[in-house]
Amino acid sequence: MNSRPNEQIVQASNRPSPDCGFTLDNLEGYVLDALDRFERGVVEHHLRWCDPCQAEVARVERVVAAFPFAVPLVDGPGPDVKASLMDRIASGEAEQAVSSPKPEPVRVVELPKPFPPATSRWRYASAALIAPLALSLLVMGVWANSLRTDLNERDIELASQIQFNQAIAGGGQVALYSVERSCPTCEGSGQLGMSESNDMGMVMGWNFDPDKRHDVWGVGRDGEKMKMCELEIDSTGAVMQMFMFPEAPADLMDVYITDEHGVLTYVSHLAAEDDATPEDSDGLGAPIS
Amino acid sequence: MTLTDPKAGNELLELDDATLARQVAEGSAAALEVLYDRYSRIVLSFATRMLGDRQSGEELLQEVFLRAWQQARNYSAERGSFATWLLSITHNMSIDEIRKRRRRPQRADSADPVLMLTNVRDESPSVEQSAELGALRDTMARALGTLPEAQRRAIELAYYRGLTQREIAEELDEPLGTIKTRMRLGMRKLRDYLETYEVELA
Repeated sequence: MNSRPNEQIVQASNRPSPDCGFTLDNLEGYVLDALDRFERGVVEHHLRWCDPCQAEVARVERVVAAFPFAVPLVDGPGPDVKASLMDRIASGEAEQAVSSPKPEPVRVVELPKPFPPATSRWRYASAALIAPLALSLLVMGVWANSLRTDLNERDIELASQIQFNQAIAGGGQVALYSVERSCPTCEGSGQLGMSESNDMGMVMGWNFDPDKRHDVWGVGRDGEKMKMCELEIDSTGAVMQMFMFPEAPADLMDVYITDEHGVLTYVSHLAAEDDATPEDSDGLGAPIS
Repeated sequence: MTLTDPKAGNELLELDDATLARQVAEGSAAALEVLYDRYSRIVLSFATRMLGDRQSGEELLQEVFLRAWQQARNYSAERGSFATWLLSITHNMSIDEIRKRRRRPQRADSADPVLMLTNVRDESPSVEQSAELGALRDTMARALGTLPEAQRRAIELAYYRGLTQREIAEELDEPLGTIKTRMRLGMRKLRDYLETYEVELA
């Protein structure tokens, strides 16, 4: 996988770079979980590749972890509390986890809503939906064109916070999910944005193989897979593409990206694995159709 | 369920937290019982402070240890002490409860459970669960005592009430930038103090 420019800078010096400013200014709020969702998203993005800032976070986390030790001690609990706890455990009320925790959306971005949310499904899209869509496409086209020549990858990530919002939600809420690699030769990464108001989605990524076909599928709770679009990847491996969800997003479990043979290459988990049906739990890595 | 086999119980008492946590992950309720005996008091103290009353604290105490029972597999000694992990669970569950309460109508005379860090002098019996925890508590109290009131208040509202900086700014009727600065300066002061005294925080 190609190294990112900023990653190289940071790793070479092993010290915070000038790009770390926003994160360093908001470290304390981040660790105290006191940032709003937009700010938190920017910091989380930065921390994915910046080791020095991760180390700074760890320093602050150690301080916060010590807060509970500052409280005055009260008398210990009575024996009945312990007896009740052990009875609950013995009764099997709380089964021990055998799998990893539920996946969570990377974050949710919320900005003011300049447009009312669409109320109908995509197949009955109204003029109210089409108008912001057309505007969004225009904005995205201009933005994407400039972005491919002027911005580096990390800037794309940061710009995507606003772009997702402008492009697919008309200013409403957008849930963002990471696009995870599911094949050993895959080198791409990116994000999937889902509007919570109008059934629109957007994939933004980089380092995708431009010589391969990539299809985007929605996988419902019933295991049904529906193709949503074919990705248009430019010669640099970048992709920025909007699409309509075939079902209301709440009914989707995952979004799969497959190659031309139907083999899974990337996946975004939209819902907890615990909710997965048997039909779709064995689909990873297998031809999708 | 109790430690019915005294010999086995004594052996468990000799084990360190990480070993006990591994045993809990493998389904040993007896190991959890030992960890409960070690940490229930500090968890209850913290939960009581977070939620404002002992009854809520005791209810949360049970839920915390049930969560620890369920999630013991996720504990990693490399990432910190068991006590820190347990108290982190306590904090998260307390904040969830506080936010639930915030969404429900509150009585006008409801007590404000904030001001946790400002009153750290312990009037309770001085028996500590361990000398190590006692030393840490004293050091934290001194460190918190170095903070100006405004900085401490901003940190408290975030940590004990789960408020964002924007919500804190609204509550205190202060500019958002001011709250950010207070929180940043306060936390850095604490960090510097604790690092200067080389306190083992986690």
